[in-house]
Amino acid sequence: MTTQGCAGARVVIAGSPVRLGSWRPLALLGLAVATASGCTGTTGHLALASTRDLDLAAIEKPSGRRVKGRSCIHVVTVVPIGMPKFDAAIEDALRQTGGTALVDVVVGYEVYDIPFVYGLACYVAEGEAR
Amino acid sequence: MRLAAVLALAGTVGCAVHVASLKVVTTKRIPADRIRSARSRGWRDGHSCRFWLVGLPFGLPQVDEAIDEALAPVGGILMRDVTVTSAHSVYVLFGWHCYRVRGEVFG
Repeated sequence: MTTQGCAGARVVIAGSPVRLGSWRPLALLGLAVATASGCTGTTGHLALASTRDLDLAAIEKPSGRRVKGRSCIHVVTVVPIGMPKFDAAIEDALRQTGGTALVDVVVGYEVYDIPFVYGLACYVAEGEAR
Repeated sequence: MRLAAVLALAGTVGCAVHVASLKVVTTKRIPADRIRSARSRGWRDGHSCRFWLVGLPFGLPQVDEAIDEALAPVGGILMRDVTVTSAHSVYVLFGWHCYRVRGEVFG
């Protein structure tokens, strides 16, 4: 029964130009997925970075937890809504532990994009929170 | 000729955006007692740039390079109250992307 129902549906779709048109959004979605891209890059290695008043006693602690923070913006068509900030990425990482500084920091950039539709651009800061 | 000059001028643009304000930053591992004893060496600038051609970048500018450029001339070990700016200059088909840092150097 199920097989017949499917076959019947296929005949209706194939025979109807209106139904064929309903594939257009799917085709556009496929095109969007096919052209979607992403890239990442490193924009700096820092031994120590902080957006807060530095607690020197804290940075002498033997080790802290490795954390990653992000600051992202949306790109609608080709228009960026704001600018990502890498101090916000560091602050986001510090917020996770309550630390005052990140050590052995890698600052990076990530971009994910469906051309002319939507994009996401982020600064990423990863380091050991002290 | 005049049209080419106008187009070249129209294609020459630049912008700079603030991307970070940091209380303290350094590229070198420093013991805390060395940080405590560091003295101001004045306000300094540094930059790191990468060239691009017809949209293809030849690498990414590096914030640590910009900081080292600010620290090196005065033997600094860290910077405080740092602002980081991302600057783009476009000359029609080529240009530069730069990070600029400015802050008080201690050493």
